[in-house]
Amino acid sequence: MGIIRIFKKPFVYAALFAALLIAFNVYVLLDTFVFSDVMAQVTEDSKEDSTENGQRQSGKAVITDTSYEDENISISIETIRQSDTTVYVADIKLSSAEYLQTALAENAFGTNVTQKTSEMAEEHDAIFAVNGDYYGANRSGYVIKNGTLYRNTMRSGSEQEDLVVYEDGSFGIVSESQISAEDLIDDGAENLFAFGPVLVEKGTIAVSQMDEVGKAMSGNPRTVIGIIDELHYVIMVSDGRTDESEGLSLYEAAQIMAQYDCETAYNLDGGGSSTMYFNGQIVNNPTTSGRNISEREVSDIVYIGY
Amino acid sequence: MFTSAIKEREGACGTRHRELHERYFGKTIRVYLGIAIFCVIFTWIYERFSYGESALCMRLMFLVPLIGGALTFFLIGRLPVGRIVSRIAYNLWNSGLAVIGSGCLIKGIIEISGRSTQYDHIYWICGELLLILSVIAMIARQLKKKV
Repeated sequence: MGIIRIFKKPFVYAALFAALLIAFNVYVLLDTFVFSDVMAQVTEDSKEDSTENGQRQSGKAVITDTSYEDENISISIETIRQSDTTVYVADIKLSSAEYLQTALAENAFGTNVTQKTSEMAEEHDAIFAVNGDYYGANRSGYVIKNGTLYRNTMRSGSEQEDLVVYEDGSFGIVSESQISAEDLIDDGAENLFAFGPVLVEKGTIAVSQMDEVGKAMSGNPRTVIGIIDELHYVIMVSDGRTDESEGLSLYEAAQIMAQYDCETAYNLDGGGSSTMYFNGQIVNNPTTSGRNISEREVSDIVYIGY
Repeated sequence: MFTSAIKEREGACGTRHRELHERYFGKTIRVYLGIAIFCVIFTWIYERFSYGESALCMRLMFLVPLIGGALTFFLIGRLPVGRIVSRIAYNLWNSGLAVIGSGCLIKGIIEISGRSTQYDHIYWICGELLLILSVIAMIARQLKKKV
């Protein structure tokens, strides 16, 4: 009866309920943005250390501020201005698809497990790296990295399309509602990126000027990966949100990739995540708010290396 | 004397209830209108700092206090059913709207950040449950009065 009397007091119920609701809201936000949940550790693969057996290079690599070339890997970075934005375009040629790899933050799979692109790149001796699809922001969607299936639950909004990189280095566009993650592995999927949208498909721009991730036209920093032909890739990162660089809309990003004759081009995580790393240096100007130039921690990267 | 005292008390109670409900819901309606306006302004400001991103549920968040709150209590206050809204039913209804509105807000924040959530189901289920309990409480009070 004492408890009932308490509840009859003005605003007691409202205050208690409000406190409970706010606490739950805070928990949901913390669980979404802060609490990390490691579900699996990346195991060392069985491939031999390429440095030890001399596979890395039999000859010397020729390295400049904007290029790298050895007998297996050729990278050339061009800086252009388009749509009031500085854009960095890396032209990459490989002798084998094994040099196109991905890495997970802290070498662990899970939500809110993050690390800077440059740190992951250094840990994996990457010659070149960009941020990936930030799989860790979501609890659903296929995750396939370096041939390992980490998650096979379908992404919400299953009409969205993923980019698959197969063992031979070729690209494919798939919809999670039409094929299982296990079937993709059976088909030879080595890496999968779930962000999007597809910018160029079969050599044609696949987005309209009205398209935008999040359904709002806006210039933003972008990271895009594309393929020209066999083992010949283009990876683009643009600045944005600053006075110097407005950023690109998805259509503008698609136009650039089409200019470089991409057969397929796919949008990866952009905004503050967009980071290009080359030979120990950050190439672009990563920023979240436009006020500070600093790397954002992300959940995965795409890199070129041994 | 006893009968007239009862009739007098019933008349006084009925009048007091009518006045209570008009005063009661009038303030409630104004508060909900204010909350709806705040939701619109908040959404506009939040989207301005979201680099062009938007979320449908956040944009529609204002409908919860507008329709579920202001409009509902406006109609209730002018219908005979308004006399059977007990404190419990009133609190449950407000709680349901608060939960649903919170769900819209949280889901919107998460979607604008580019993520997704499965917690929104909890908000919708709990909110609807509270609204249903509120209606049950009103019906129960009405049945109790008839008995």
